[in-house]
Amino acid sequence: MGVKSWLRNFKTEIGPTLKELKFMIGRIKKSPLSVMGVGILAFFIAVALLAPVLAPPGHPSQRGDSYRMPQSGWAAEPQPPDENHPFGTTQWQYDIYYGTIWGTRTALRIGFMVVGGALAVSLLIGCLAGYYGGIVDELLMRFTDIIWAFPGLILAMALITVLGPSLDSIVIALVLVGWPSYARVIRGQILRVREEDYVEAAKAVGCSDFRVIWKHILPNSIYPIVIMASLDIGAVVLTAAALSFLGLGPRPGYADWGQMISFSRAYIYKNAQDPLGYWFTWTIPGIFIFLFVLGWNLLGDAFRDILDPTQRRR
Amino acid sequence: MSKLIEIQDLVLRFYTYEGVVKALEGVNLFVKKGETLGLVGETGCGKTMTGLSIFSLIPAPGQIEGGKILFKGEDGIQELLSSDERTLMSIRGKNISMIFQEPSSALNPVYTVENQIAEVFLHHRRGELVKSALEGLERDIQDGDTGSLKGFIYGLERKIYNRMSEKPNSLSLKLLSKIPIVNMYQGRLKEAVRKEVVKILREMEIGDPERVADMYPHELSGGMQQRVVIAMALSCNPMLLVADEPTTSLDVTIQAQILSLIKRLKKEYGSSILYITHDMGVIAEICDRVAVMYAGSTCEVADVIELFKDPLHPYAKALLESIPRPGKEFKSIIGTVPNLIDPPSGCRFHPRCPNAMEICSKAKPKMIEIKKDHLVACHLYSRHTK
Repeated sequence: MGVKSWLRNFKTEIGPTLKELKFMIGRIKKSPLSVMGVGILAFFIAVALLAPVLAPPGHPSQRGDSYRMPQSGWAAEPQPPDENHPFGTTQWQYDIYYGTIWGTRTALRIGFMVVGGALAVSLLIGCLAGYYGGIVDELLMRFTDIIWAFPGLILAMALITVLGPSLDSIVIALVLVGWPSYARVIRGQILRVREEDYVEAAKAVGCSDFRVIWKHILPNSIYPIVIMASLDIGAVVLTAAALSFLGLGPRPGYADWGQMISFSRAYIYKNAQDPLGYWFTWTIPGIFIFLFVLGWNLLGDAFRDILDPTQRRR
Repeated sequence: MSKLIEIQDLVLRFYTYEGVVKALEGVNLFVKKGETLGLVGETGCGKTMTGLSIFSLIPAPGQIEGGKILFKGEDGIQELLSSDERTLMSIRGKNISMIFQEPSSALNPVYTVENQIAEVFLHHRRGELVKSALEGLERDIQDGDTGSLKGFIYGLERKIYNRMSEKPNSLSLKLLSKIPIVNMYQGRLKEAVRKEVVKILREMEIGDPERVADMYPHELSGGMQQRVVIAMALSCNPMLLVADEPTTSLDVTIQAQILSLIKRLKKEYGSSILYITHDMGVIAEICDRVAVMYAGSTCEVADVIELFKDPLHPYAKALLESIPRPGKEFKSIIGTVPNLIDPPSGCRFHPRCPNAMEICSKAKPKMIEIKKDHLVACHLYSRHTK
């Protein structure tokens, strides 16, 4: 009886979730673009998970750090693909294949950490400002405006320079630059939902402020931000690649798509006979970045159709 | 019969950019135990604000400037306006609850009916539900053999539920309930809640409560939504139910159903009702007594039959005459509702009043009892009592 009742509980517990999941998958299947987005991201996540299998670390030049690209020699000129290096090598002979595979992990980490961090900061600030209003709102939103007033990339560069160039600095700087746009949207949404009758009803039932915000206001106001965030993961990775390209990224040799492109800066044009002789140095990391951003953008659109409960059951 | 709630000289102001809106200026009324008091008046006269004041849920620029709201709850008479938020939170929903005008917006679109009602149950009647879950568990233990694994699980469950009933606010349990798979111990509690939810939905004359419990608000019709809202309001068996025009947004047949439902439930649950409406027909249908409001103050309080037969205040008279009837000429009240930023001096009705006297623009009339249980605030009658 005991085990059975637990199984039954498990079923009732998990049943609605499974039903929703089925529904979501059904919705995704209906739109070819969403399928593509999901497919691309599934590919990247698989690559990230299988990185140690696809590109086993252990090359002596890595010195035990699997995020360091293996280096065969110090020659400046990139070498075209051969059997040891399927995608060729960059300047200073870093392996492009290894770099792109492990760079997927870096990209996903940057994307999730930056967007997650920015969401956390903006949720806190947006909720406080939107729900309490008055002087709290005024102070928090003017502070947001101040951050907003700086050109994002320049402020991020300044912050990274202060913190010292590294991957963590890029993440921190992008969080600090990225949250105002979310905070504004969250505040606006909360201002709208706050006036709804069901919020009043929740208060009339005796809910605390925290509960009202967490259980009644946020579920009704979070969808635009979830969509924004999923669209932004791609953009964030692009910005991080740009910063890394400018030399503000991790130390040389770290598996990071932006840095790999920055390595090919001097090797875009080979010579008059073979102008595109070094194509592999910038095309291959470029394609990875391109597909990654495209995948997130398509998924963001899919999320919009799926997640909003007021729009979904049409 | 004793007074359940009494509002004395309630004054509410809104501090807006255009000026101070004197929304409520001396509202006096009381609701006795087990009766239905109708609060009637035209749009914008402060009916809803009076209702919300009882919950201390006045929207942002509004402030209660004076008056008292005395509530006779389980532990003696409480003054609600000076109570702290914690006491209010335990009273709201449990002792006093509200039915809203627009059922479609009073329900949260992201939760199923079951979840919405369950929230109220878990907020105010958790202890009771834990106890019933515990009883079910004890039964299971006695019935089933206590084999090694089952016995172990039962033992764990019993420990958790005992702790739940002893220390409802324990932090470790709160953390435990957030861990997936482990938090399945809540299944029993959820089952107990579901039983209660289905029971109360059946009370609301909902045909298929099991199915409706799993539906989202937008899948229900207006009448059904209002039944769910009423179920939420009644789920803790409140002493006072504030019904803010619960039938205004429904069509007439559904309105009749909801009214008879409220009537029946009032008898069964023994709650008092403060019924806010602008519809005299509904008042005649459902109320025991009526309070007439005009521009932020109560002007006449009387028994419902008494008021319809013998209205005293000129506004109440005009209001009753303005009900369209076949074969009778339609009379409207001359003039418009005053701007509450700059209301008329003295009696606020005097610019529109056919019986206005000199004193009416100077002094605000006091509420006086003309006959037994028939109160009126008008200078016409103050002479008689002197």
